[in-house]
Amino acid sequence: MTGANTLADTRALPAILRDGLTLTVRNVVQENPFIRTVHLTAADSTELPGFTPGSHLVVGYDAGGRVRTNAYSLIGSGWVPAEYSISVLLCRDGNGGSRYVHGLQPGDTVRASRPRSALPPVTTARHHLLIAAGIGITPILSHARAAAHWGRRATVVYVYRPGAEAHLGALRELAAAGKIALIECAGRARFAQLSGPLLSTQPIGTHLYTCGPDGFMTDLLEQAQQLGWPADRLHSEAFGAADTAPGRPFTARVGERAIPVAETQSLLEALEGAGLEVPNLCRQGVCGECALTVVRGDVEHRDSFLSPTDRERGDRLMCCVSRATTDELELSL
Amino acid sequence: MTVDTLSLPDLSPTATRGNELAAPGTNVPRDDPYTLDVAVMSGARRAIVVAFGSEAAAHSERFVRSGQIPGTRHTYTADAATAEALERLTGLVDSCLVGTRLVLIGAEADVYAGRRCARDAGMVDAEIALVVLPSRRRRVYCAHCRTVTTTTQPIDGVAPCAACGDSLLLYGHFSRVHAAYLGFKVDAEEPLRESA
Repeated sequence: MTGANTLADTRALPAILRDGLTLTVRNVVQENPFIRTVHLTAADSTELPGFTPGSHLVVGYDAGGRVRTNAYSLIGSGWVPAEYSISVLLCRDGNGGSRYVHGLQPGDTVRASRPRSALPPVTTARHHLLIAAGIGITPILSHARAAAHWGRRATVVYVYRPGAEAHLGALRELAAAGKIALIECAGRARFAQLSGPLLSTQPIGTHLYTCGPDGFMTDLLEQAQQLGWPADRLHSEAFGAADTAPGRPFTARVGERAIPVAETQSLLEALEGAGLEVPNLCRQGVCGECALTVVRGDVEHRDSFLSPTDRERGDRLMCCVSRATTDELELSL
Repeated sequence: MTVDTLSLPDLSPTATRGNELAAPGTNVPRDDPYTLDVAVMSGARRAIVVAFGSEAAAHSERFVRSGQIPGTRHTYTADAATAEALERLTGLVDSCLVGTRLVLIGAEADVYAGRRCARDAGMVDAEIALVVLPSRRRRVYCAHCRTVTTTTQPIDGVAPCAACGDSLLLYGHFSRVHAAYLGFKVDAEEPLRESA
C-alpha cells in the first residue's frame, strides 16, 4: 500500500505527526454497518501517554501520494491507557480519512499525533451534562468513563437513530453500576421535546458538553443561551462536515502571484495546488491552524474558529473553508 | 422614565470612582460604582439579590423598579458579609438552577466576600453582578500572621494587624479570593535597629 511509504518518511510529515507516535492496530470492532472501532497500542510496546477526557488523535493517511490528517476522538477515560481507541463513522464521499480507518486490519501500522485536548472537563463543575448525537458519542464516552473513574457526577444524553448507535452497551453498564445517569433518546424529535425541560432544571454548577452534527449543536447551544446558560458553561466540539459548498470563483494574490480558486475548490487546495506550503490540520474550519492574513478584499467566513470580533476586523481567514466575496483577495503567507 | 426616590450620586465620568487610588499597574478593582452589569443580567431567568447594608437595599429597589433585574427574584438583605450572612448566601446559591444570576450590592469588602461564596457553590463570574458602593471600609490580609483586619485606612495607608500588632502597609494588591488587600510590615525593608 502506497500509504505506508508516504508515511514512513517521518521527516517529510506535518509537524503534528512528526512529533507523534507510531501505533499498531491491535483489534478492530465493527459497531454497526457504519461505525468501526480501532484499538491501537504503541508499536514499540512502550507506555502510551495518558490524556485528558475529550482528547483526540490526529491520524495521518495517504491521499494520492500526499499526507493528509483527520482528527478522531479517543473513547477511553485517559487514565493510564493500555490502548488508544477511536470509533470512526465511514464517510464514503469524504476526503478518505474514514475509508482509511475502515480499511485497517490488526497488525497494521498507524502514524498519529500525541493526544490533543480539545474538550476538557471543567474541574470545578458540580455536575457534568454530556449530550451526544450520532457519532458525537466518542468524546462523550471518554468523559463518561473518566467521570465514572473519578466519581464525578455526570448525566449522559445520547441521541441516536436506532440501528446507528455505538457504545450503548458500555454506557448502559456504567449507568447500571450507578456511575452515571443515562438518558437514551431514539431520534432528534424525541430530544426536541426533552431538551427544554432538561436545560431548565440543572443545578447551578452544571457544565454542558456536546458533540454531534453542527445543526444539532447550534440548536442546543442556542436554546441553552435562551434559557439563561452563560457561554462559560457551554462546551462543544464541532464534528459535522465542514461547509464545503461551492462558492463563487475568485483570484488569490500572494506576493506577485495570482492563483485562481475555482467554484468547487477551497482556497487551501488552490494554494497547495500552486505549490505553496500552508500549515493546516483539520481542514474543516475548526482548529485555526491554517489562518492567513488578509491584506485586501472581503471574506465570507465559513469557519467555526474565529470570534465575531475577529470576523468584524476582517484581517484573518481560515483558508480551508472560507472564501472571498470580492473578485480578488490579497493574502500574506 | 425615572421614579427614583433616592438622591443619586453624581455618575458623570469625572465623578469620584469607588477606588480613587486604583492606580494603573495594580489589580485594585475598578468596578463602576452603582452600576449593574447588563451583560451579566442578559438572559437571566431568575435572580438572587443580596444587599449588604441599607444603602445597598435602596439600590436593589432601584434596580428592580427600573426593570434591570428581570425574572423572579429572591432578595436578601444583611448588614454586612458576616459568617451568618455568607452561610445564608451559600444556601441560596447552592439550591438554585442554571439560568439564575446573583446580584451582590454593597461595599467592596462585602461584595467580594459574597462572590467567593457564590463561586465556591458553583457559580461562574458571568453569572455574578457586583455592584460596589464606595466605602472607606477595607479588609487587609496580614502577610505575616495571615489574619484579616478591617480598617478605614486608604490604599498606601498603615493599619495595625488585629492579631499580631504589626503596622501593615495596605499595598495596592487586592485578593479577590480573600476580599482583602495585601498588608505587610511597613518598615520591612528597613535595617534592624540595634536594641542596645
